[in-house]
Amino acid sequence: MAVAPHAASHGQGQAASHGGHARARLPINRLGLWLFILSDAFFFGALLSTRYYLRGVHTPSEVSQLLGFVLTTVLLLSSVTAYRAETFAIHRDQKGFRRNTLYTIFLGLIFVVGVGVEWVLAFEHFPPSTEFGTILFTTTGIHAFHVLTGILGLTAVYRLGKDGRYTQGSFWPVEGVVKYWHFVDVAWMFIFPTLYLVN
Amino acid sequence: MHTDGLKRAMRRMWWMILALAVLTLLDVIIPALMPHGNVVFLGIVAAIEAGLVFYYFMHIGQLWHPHEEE
Repeated sequence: MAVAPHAASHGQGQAASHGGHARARLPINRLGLWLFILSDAFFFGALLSTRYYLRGVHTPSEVSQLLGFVLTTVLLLSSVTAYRAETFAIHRDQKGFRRNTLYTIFLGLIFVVGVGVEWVLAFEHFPPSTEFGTILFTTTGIHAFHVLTGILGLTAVYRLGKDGRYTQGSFWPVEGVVKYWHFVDVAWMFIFPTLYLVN
Repeated sequence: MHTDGLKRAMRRMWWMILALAVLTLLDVIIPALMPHGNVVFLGIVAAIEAGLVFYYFMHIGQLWHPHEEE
């Protein structure tokens, strides 16, 4: 059925108005996300300070620094692919956006598996009933939960972005999820030295 | 114009990969060189890493320049 010209122009007008509305909301969306990130940073700060309060700066020699280093590298790489996904969405490259989102999800899953391996190893040396065990399981567990929620968010934008909605219209959902992912990476940058390296 | 912006963003990404790789290696080298009393140095390295990610990957500057896309 043919669409009347005035109806089509009305539709375009609505889309433009919606785009303008989304653009106007962008600064407040960003501020809201940053406030959420700040509150989450305080939460991680409390967890890390617990470690120093209970154990001082002593780290048991049984902690696998190599595994911690591998986990850090995987998470840093995932931050790079997340940045690429966002950049490609901004520059309207649908293929690049989807490919890099998938890479990020994959690296996130590798990280979660790595934390699982860490837990299996940690159970032998520091069961959750010990001081260091409590700190390690709580901190890495809560961080891994953040990674899992990030993976869920990335999966959502990957699926919803199949029709090109983020490379043609507002890319705020991609920006939001990617910023959250970077924050999870930043949190690990402090967890890694605190749990594996300091002495 | 889009291609220029994309090239700039990718150049920024390579610099960030280099900087984060160096800082992560420092993370591992510091405890090897300084087995005791390394907490301050590790804290400084982590703070620099976090600052770089906040500024270049998370575009924290957009809070002060709301309509900047990149």
